[in-house]
Amino acid sequence: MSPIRLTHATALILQALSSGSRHGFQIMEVTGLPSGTVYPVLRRLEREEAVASEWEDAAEASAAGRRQRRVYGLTESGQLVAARARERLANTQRVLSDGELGQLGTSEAGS
Amino acid sequence: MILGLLSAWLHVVSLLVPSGERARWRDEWHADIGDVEASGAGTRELIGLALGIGSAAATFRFEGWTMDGWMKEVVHAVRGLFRRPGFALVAISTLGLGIGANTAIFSVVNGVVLQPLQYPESEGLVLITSSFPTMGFTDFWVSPPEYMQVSENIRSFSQVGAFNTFQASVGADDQPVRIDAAAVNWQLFEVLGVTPLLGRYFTEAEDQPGGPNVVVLSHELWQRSFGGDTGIIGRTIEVNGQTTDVIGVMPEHFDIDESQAEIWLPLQLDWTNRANFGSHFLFLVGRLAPGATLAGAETELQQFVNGFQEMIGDGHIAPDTHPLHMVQLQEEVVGEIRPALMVLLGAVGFVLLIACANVANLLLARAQDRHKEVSVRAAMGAGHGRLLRQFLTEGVVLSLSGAVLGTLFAMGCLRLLQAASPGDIPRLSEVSLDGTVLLFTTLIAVGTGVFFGLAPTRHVATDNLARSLRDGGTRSTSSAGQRRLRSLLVVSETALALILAVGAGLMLRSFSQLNAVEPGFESDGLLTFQLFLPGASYPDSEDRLEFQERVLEELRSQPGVTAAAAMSGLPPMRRMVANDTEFENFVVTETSPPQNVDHYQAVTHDYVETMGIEVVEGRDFEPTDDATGVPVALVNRTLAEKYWPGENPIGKRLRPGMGGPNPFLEVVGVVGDVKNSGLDVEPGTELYFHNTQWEARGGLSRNVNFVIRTSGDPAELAPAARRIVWDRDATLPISGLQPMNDVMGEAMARARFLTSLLAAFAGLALLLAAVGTYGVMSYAVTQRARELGIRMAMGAEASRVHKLVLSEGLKVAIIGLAVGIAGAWGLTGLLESLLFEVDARDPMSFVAGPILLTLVAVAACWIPAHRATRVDPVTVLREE
Repeated sequence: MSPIRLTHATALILQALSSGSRHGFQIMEVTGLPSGTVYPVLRRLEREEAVASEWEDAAEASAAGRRQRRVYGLTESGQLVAARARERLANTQRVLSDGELGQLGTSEAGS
Repeated sequence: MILGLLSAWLHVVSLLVPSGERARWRDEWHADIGDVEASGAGTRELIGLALGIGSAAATFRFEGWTMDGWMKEVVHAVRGLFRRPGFALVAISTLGLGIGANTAIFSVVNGVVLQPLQYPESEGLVLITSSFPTMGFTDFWVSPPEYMQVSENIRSFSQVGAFNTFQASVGADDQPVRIDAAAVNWQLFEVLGVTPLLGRYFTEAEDQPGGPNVVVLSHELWQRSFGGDTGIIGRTIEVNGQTTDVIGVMPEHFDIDESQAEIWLPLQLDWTNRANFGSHFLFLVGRLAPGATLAGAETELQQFVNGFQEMIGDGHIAPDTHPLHMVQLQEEVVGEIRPALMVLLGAVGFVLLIACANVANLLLARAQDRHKEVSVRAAMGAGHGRLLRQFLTEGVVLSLSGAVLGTLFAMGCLRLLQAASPGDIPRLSEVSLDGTVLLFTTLIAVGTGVFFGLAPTRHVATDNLARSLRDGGTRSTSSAGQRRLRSLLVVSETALALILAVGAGLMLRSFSQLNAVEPGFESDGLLTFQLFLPGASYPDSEDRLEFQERVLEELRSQPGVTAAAAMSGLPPMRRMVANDTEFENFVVTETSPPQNVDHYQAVTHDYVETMGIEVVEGRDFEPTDDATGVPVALVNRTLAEKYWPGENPIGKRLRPGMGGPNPFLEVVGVVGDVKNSGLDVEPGTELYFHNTQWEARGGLSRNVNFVIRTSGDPAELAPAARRIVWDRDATLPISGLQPMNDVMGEAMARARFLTSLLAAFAGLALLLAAVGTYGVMSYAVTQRARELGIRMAMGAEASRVHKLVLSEGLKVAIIGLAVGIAGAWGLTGLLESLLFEVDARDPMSFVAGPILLTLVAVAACWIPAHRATRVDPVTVLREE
């Protein structure tokens, strides 16, 4: 399996999945990413076997009066990738708030 | 509706998804759209989601395609279009017409009807009017004491302002001009919440009786007469002969309830005078208080009306006799024009559908022709994806070319609409081309182009290559399914075109009825103009009468002039002023009409003769009916029949106002009805005074209209009329100097505008339907060349073959006609409110429309049928 391309959107989506989001609409809502980004990333992650999906229980959907949702979850390798992504997000966070880049950001915002 | 569209959209875009995954993604997207909708998202969010899904589907399809490959395809596609210029031209211009006309009309509907008025938080603005139900007066003015009570007692409004409109003379350059003006109070500007572009609006202190002369200018007047000079604030101008300080300029397009005023003067109401409930001349605009609702304000206003007697101790306002009403300002401004614009929108929507059907037909036919090309390329090793890419690119290039043409066409259309429209369509000048709708129509067009553009690849998908190649490619036959689809497209466009043709027929009939309305006078050969005689120069009635008489005398001495007269109101578009009028010995019963006359008209003695109005009974005014003579009056036929049915009106007496010291006037003649409130409105009752007697009893006519009858072209008399007036008084602005027939034209301007637009769309639809039918028939003949050739070889006569082809084409057209008639029967009801003296099911339109469509269909089938008879059996069979 080739290493997974970890774009910003991919990282966000992995993070959303590991914190409990389960289907397309929920992921879009949590990440704020547009549908045009979310679906292709999900499809790629599924091909790369970081994510698996299945239809939710038909009885559950009809009880809630809606169509059956496609439910996504992280595979084992997906969980590893998600952890790596989390690490990377944390790094980004740290660089932005503490380092020189962070100060640059504040001084610009202040000017 | 939106969910239906989205579902259709999902079906279309999921075609892009590789077939193995298609169903899964389509169902997943359906579920997600359902979730987003259930989360309470608005249309905008749903459209955003749908567009994103489209983009995702495209990503799935084109994963791994390089830009370089795409560019090659684009170049290839453009070359392909150039190789078949006829096809390209028809397809692109059809799409362009559909996209352009729709974008232009939707931009108008959006700008005029859908967009909120240009005031901050305009949804909270309401117009308050009164009515007198027993007298049939609606949308009537409100009196100052009524206004003050409303303003002080209704809690649902944070503030209520008042205004009235009139005309004013403004001395701008060397010649004063007559313009629309409004008197408004300081509260009104606060209510509307619009900040002046320059300077300020009135203060409360300036808006008191006897306050200073100050004026706020419109942006348009400021630009036109003062060249946009920013130093205008603090300068003075002459308004109605008074020196007035300019204190502000409003922003562009600022207007109050379509009054089209160009200056605003302080209303200067006396808030201490609460007595005169009966003097109605104000319209009110209120702003809802924070937290108040329209429904709540409505209820409170009703309670105010119901409790007025008890609260104020005056029964003037009462639910049965004189209630107050409110309507959202937006509704008031655009409510009347909305049905007409919606009809136009529907009509262009049909044009777009027909255009799409045509393009679909063209592409299907072309796909058939390219059957062989596709088969060969596939056999040479081009993969399914490669072929798909080629046709997709061609479809997109074609549709986008149509969209570019459509945009240009829409810009042209919008300009034309703005230039050609009568002045009475509100907010039209604010309209600009709408990006959203351009995107929408373009998407529809591109969708059509792409969807039907992919048709040729279906052969590849069905793996029928071997057979195609075996057939040798000399001909290709369409499947029954495709023939049915094409027939269905022709049926739909014929039906849609017929509905438009019937609608346009109804509008044309209505317009000709309006044209045939007898205005009650001879408008040919009349010239008219209006003067305003200011109090400063013409303080007394003698001055005014003297001036009029001198001007009339000189006009009469002009070559070709046979008569000239002056009057207070210019038919056929006068504002109705309901005048209380006492009828002598009038017995008031349950059913008797209120003693009130719709129109007063003060005229010189030769008015009736100059206008060519019929004298029905008695006599016309005479020069001796002057201030010293017995007070006399003329009445119109409607008045005589309404108040003295079956009696001789001559000798009856009436007088303006109820009671009072003025003597009764004796009716000496009955004249024919003259249209006063528009050509499509009943003439109403009219009472004529001799102008000297009118002035003598205190009537005031500062606005004087002149009519001159000439044996020549009235337009040629205009310079002489202008010279005659200005020789006597060069400070007077002359307005409305034009032949009476132009005035009549203005009265029909809106009807003419709507009728010509609808007729243009119907014409476009007919043309497109003809092209579509022709295309399909012509293609069918090509397809059947072999069969026809064999028939001819077997001895079938040319006329029989001709008839055969013609009848098959007409069969399809007739189904379309039947569907169209049913559709028109159901839809023309929507036109009801736009029609004048024509039934929405007018038999003539319902017969003429189908006949026209049949002729178009025959013409469209004739040429292919004729070509069928020219098929050479030898050639066709040799090709086998």
